[in-house]
Amino acid sequence: MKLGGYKNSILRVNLSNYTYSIEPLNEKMILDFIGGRGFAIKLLYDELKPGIDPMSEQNKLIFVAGPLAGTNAQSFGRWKVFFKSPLTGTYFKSSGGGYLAAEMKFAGFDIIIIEGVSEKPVYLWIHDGKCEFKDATYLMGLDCDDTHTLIREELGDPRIRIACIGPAGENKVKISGIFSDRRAAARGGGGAVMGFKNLKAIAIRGHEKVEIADPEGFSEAVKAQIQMYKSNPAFEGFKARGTQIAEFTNLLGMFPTKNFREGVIEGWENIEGQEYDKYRVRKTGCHSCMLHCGNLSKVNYGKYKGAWSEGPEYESIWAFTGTISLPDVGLTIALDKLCDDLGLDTISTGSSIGFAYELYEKGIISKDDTGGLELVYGNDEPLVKLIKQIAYREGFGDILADGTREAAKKIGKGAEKYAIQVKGLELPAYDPRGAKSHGLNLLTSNIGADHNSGYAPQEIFNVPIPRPVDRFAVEGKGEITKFNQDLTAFLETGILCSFPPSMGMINAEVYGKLVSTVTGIKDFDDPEYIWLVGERIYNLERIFNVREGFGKKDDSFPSRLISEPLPSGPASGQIFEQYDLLKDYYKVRGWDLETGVPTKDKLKELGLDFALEYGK
Amino acid sequence: MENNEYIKVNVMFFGDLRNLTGTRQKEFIMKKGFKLSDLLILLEQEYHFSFKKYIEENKGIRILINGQEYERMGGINALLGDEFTVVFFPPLFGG
Repeated sequence: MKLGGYKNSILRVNLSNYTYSIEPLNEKMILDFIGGRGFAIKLLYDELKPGIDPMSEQNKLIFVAGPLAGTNAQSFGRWKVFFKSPLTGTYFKSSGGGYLAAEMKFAGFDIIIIEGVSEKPVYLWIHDGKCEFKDATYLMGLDCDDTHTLIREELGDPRIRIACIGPAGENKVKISGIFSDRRAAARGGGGAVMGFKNLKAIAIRGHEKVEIADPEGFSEAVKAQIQMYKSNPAFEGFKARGTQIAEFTNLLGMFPTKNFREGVIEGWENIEGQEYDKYRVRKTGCHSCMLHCGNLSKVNYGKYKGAWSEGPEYESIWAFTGTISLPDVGLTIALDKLCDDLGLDTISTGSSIGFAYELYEKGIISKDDTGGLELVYGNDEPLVKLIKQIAYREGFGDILADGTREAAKKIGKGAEKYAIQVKGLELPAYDPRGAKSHGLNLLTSNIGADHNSGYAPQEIFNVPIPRPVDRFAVEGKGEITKFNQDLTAFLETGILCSFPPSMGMINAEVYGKLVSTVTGIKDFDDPEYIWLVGERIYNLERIFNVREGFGKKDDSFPSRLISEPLPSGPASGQIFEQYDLLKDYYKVRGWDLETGVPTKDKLKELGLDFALEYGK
Repeated sequence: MENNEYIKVNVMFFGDLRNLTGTRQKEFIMKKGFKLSDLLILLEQEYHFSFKKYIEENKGIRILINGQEYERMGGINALLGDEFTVVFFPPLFGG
């Protein structure tokens, strides 16, 4: 069938023998999974044997651009990279912004699958339908910014888009990510997988247009999308500051402080949005997105004078304030840039530091363990050194480099209960005790504690879709969590940024119009079908993990969140009622209550008959 | 507060309202038994514009009373108490 939107091309690269092939998309996969995240889980499920070591030749990196990338539909410029995670052992999806996805499409590809391991450091030069293997020896050890600069110089084109790893990925740090123009697919250790493959970067450039199957219909659909954006009450505010708004979770009493012991950081006024306004040089954005929510920030005075960053966004603000109980804007800008340069996930890095600070306070570790670093709350002196140690696997940093779950095992002495993670992925900047559906998503997300798998705007922003909720209530949260997770899954078939849906700026109807008119596939112009695909994707991801041995035992928070009430603030007294919330969720999902495994009936209902052997 | 007839309520403004009031945070002393609707009248007297109208015209504006959405506390008739914190902020986002 003649399609728009897609390039109908998968680039499959073998690093072990420096060959590549190009294959078309599978028609059934298109109809069943639409694109983006849908394609990726189908490919990973089919091509990764269960039980492989994520740090082995058998693992694959799958870069995906959605059918709407490279068009003027708004906010579909995100790229995603998929792999089996060395941090969690689960299926993993990691997402970045910027311009890489559009360039992949211009270069002629929907998907780039990277297999095998190179003998020596290489980068891929992918341009206008071709792939070359280039020597990356001279790039090794360089930070992400310098890697971008030198590749562009070598190839003679400043418009080349690049995804690379920094020193952290080269050192196979399990909390390292993949970076493109200062945007990051940071979580889950994708950087380590790329480093293991001896792949320093992929460089992409193309000149093809993205064909639109129904140009008139598509134009109307984009107009409708833009209208929905502009009429949303959050539109102007979000454009102005993006997510540099740490005040809102403090006002809700769920800003994780001191390793999730408290819900409000003392002095939060010093890191509220209005403070970051003073450091903003200009706004930045992604391909074809009018939200332009990025911020270029610069420190002009004080201890961190001279530091700058594209960011920090909300999570990175939290990573270097709430974790060490020090609300300092300049510090967050400096450390955000440091992590970007080194190629580290700020969430896991910040969380690991916060974990270490608590262990130090409790005497579980001492200066002897930290090589003299004094990890005392409010003390930022050790941070630059500690972050570099993580990236270079030196000293105490080498213990933190594999995430808090592994670090706790190595440290022992009861450290395990202070690792605030699910399935090995450190929790982001939302205390589950302050918002139960938001927390239920962190508990059950298929990649560990990922807020973007099923963000709960109903609780965080009082968005009354599908209905208003009480963030502290337990009842009915299974339904809300499933709603958010399935919605996210179907929107990620186009690879929509997660911000617009979280503000109610898009829905299944608008998305259906966009994806059906760009592709020409009328089946997609059906909200009921779109929702089905979302649920199908979610369940296949779950089955991938079931096949790896995951189940109900892994849907579990550390004891702090389920038995220690928040001591003060607007969410004072709250705990996370894990037993009741999880039971409700499994019921709503149609999964076996004892094991958390999707039932065979559910799999049949979703057209996942090929996975029936793993159902309950 | 010691005096049983009066309560102290801390009010915080974010976004546009901070610009309109020129205030980030202010304490108000009011009679015990006052509701949110009464506070809005006090604010109108203090800042010389109608808060009630502002809220009606600006959809999505949030009012938190001790961290809970005001709709869940009784809406415009939510009862205020001593040492309560009332926050006005526009719809925003973070991730």
